[in-house]
Amino acid sequence: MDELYRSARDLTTDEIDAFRSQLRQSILACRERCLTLSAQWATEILDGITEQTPIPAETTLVCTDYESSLPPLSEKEHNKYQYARALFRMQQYDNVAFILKDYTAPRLMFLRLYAKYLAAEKRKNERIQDMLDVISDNSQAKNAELDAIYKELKQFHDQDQLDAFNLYLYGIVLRKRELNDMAAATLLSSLKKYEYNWSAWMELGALVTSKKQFHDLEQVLNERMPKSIIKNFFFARRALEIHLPQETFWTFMTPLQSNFSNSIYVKSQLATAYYDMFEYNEAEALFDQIRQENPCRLEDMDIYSNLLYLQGSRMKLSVLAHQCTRIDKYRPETCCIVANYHSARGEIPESVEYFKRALALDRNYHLAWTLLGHDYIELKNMHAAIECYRRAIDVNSRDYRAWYGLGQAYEILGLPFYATHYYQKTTELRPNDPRMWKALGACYALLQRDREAIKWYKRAAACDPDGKHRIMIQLARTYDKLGENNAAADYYRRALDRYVEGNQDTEEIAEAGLFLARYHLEKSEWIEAEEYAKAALDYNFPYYEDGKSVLEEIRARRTYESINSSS
Amino acid sequence: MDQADIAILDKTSLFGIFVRRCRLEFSKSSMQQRTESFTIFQHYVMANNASRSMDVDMGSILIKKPSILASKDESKLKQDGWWFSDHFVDRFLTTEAEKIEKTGTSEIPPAVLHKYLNFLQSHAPDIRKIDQVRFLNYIRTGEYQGALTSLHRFFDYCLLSTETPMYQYALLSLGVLEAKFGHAQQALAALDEALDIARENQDENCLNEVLSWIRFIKGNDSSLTDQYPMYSLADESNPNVAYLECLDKLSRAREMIRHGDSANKVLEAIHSSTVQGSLANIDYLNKLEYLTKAIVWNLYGDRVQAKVYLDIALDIEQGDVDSIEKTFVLAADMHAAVGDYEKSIQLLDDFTKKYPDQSVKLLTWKQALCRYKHRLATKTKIHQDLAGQEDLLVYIHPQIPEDRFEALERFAEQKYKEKHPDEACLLLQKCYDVLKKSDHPSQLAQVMIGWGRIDLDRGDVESAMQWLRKALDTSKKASDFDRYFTAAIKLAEAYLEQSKSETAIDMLESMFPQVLAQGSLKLQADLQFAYSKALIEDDQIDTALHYLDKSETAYQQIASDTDIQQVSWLKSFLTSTNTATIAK
Repeated sequence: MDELYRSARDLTTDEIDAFRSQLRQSILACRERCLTLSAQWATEILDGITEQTPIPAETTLVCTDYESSLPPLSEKEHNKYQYARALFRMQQYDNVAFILKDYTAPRLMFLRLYAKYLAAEKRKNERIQDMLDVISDNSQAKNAELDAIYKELKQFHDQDQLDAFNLYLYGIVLRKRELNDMAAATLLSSLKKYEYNWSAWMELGALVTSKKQFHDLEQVLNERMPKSIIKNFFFARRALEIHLPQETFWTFMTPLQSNFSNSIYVKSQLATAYYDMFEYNEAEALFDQIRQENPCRLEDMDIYSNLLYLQGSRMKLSVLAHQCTRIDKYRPETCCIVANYHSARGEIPESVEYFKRALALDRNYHLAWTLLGHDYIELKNMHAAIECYRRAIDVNSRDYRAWYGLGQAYEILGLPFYATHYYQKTTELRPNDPRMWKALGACYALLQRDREAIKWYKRAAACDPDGKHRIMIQLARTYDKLGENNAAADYYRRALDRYVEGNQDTEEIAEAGLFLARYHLEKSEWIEAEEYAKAALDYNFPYYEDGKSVLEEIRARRTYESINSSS
Repeated sequence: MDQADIAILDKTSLFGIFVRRCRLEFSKSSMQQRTESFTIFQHYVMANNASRSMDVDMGSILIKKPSILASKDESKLKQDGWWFSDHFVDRFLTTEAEKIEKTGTSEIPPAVLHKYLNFLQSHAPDIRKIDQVRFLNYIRTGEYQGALTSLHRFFDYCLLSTETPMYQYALLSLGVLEAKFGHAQQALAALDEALDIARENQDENCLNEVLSWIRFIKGNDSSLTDQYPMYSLADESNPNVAYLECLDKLSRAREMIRHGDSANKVLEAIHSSTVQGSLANIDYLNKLEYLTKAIVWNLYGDRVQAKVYLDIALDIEQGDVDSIEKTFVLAADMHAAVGDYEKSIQLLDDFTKKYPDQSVKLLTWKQALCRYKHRLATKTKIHQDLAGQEDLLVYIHPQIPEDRFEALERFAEQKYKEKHPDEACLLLQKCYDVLKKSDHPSQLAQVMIGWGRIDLDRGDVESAMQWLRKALDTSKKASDFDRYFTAAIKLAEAYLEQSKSETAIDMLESMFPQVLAQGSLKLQADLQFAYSKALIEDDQIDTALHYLDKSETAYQQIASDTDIQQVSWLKSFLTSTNTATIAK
């Protein structure tokens, strides 16, 4: 735990200056290798750092420290490199690989092998046809060039001749070959050599799928890179992605939040975190702020659209959808936003169409798979929903929404026992989420295994101190079913108190009132019984009638008792 | 090529029509399809002759040429021009799935099959059956989590592509999986749900299978089984239905043996299963049938018949791994009964060598091996600390109640021999309380014999006789040869205590032919020992000494230390008394 908090220390100005300088260099280094995602990330972070007097040499940077550590390129190599880079930008990957054939200078080798890899990825994706209508999912198909790239990189790796970027590529290849331990070690050595390659961090992140792995890696990195700032960005993001407890996220995010308060990336991460923690108002405010600062930024706007959908802000969602379509209608995020917009309007077939479009653009877009699954549930097409959720899980096994969706689909199909497997998964992923435990409890209640249902409802109640999820009433009903009246009355009373405290108006008040009235009636506690029975009178059929009859019974029994006692 | 080798293809011939259809398909195909065909053809041409077998059955490829798939360098596959169609992969997977489902095993070792599946997944990811074979393979290696995940994955994906509802099969498979891992409650929950869904969808085949499994799981508790009524089979010509019915009859026979039903009924059930199985050409069950017959004959004391059936069962290769294990253990038991522990151990070793992957997760053979090693060590006087482990597995893994009771009873006996009668009584009392309520006559008889023995040693002859008479009745009801005669021998000893030596001698003499024919050394030695004691009472000292020698030899063969001590003590006492009498 000490280690954990050490990373939360505040950053000094010198450290931030050094970080800024390194980011500037990384933009150049990554751009030269056509790692656009890394370069874009670095630029975005750099843009968020508070303005200070720039050092002239850095703003007109032509060569980075990292590049100077490598052997210089000959003129021929340089020309070939420029040619290849131009082709790379035009996405002529095969051509790049051909042009740079036989060159082994680190930068050229990386570009060549990376181009080769991308060419094969492109070919693989081209083979994918229509998604759901034909069974032709090549998501697990192998990149055809993987073996050749692996062979070549392995040879150099064994001789310890790979630079940081080639090591990163080797790490990708190893991960694709499912040699995860080796991949992690390779990516770590790549980051040790050059830590400002955000893509390498992302690749390393993909290998971290459990809490234990997360903390193990944290320990390793704290030892190897104690002063690294970028690792905080990485850990904060990964903690969010794999749904670790909130505290873990805040441990890494707090120092970043204070030092990079202007960074749009940090704000976006914070907004996503609030969304994940069900603090929708804070999340919405932050997303609004992001949109005001940069209305053209489409990253994370899909999450914003989800939020708006959940908040029922159809107007805002409509504006967002229109603006995003104007900016780039062929971005997966845009398609997802438009789909959410249609979904909010109840136009499910259109929504399905847009989700499919998003998936055609990016088959690994797990959020779209999950939301498409939700749409299919709406359309009562359970089989398609199940397949969508399953695909979402195949992309991201920690997507608890997809697991929950699977459970829900099987429950609707009338297979509660089968559904428990999926709900159990969700409880593993979200142990503090009452909805998951409640769903599990409900399944066991359907299976007539009430004792187990009570066990899970109690877990749910423990995670829901505010009583938002109405678990008390479920507990009360289950105890009532088991004939344990005292326990049932206790939970009905608690549920009733919650509703009264929260000024809620629901028929469950009448239900609880009636039960408690009858309970006290049995005990001849007339005053309490009358009070509770009156609570049911504010509601329609059958509660009003039942309430009336209970009141009459109380009156009759009271009269009978008074006659008896007087005689 | 020789001119004579060239045959002109007639366009109306079968092959000619095939070639013409190929041409037609080719001319109709899209550019992309042509490119794919060309790539495949190129691979085929580039391949060496050994692997040029496009239309070979996938199963045979994988079995006969594992070097190709097991190659460490996967790129070799591409370079060699290896190619196979989805159709072959599908056929291979179907064959494997069927084989593992029916027999619980396959020729391909689990680790190798896992490798094949990974390979196929990366080359033919569209085929969902890979997950099915994967979960069956995980069951083989006893990996619960892997099996469960693969099962759910398989059914999640195959629901969309199938027109008829599959939920009942998903639940059935889940139930089977849970049952294989010994999670009876979970299995029953899944199967109950499967039952509802199968009824809803009027899927009779599935319904039958679910009911068979429920019966199988509840087999240990007859009171639960009765809740599920018998079902009628609509389609008896279906081999699957016939298979299930045979299996059901065999498990009923097993239950009958367990509950001590009459021999006629048991044998009738086995025979009717054999007849039905052979009519429907079901070979998989042969081993199980012969094994059941061997168990029955062994129980009824006909060692020759038991041996014959067991040998046949051992010779049959096909069968599920459980019956293979049971066959080997029974064979080992039979060798051990005549004191040949080396042979028993060797048999069990053979089993592990023959089935290295499957035997890992099985417990019965391990326990038997432990027991025989311990006995052998006692016999050869080599110290081995195996005594504690002998029954440990049964205590901690109480899957089969009768095994557990037998182990507890053995434990009680051991405690008694170690001069801890109170502990032994406590254990017996526990067993007796449970067994009285359940339906396990053989085990109940065993406990009664235990009580009888203790009471006899304490000198409470009346009570001992009561227990032993009860044991005699119970074991007779269960047709349990071994326990019947053990109880009878003890009863004869009780008569001796009452100084009714003539009755005892008559009783014991009448037993000799049957006990000797049965061949169990332990029973023979007990009988001879009791007989010699009776003869001593009757003053026939020389004959008694002769039988004492015989029983001592038998006890030595089975390495029963305490018994040897008792015999030796009596012998030396007799000899010394004899010498003293002669000296006088």
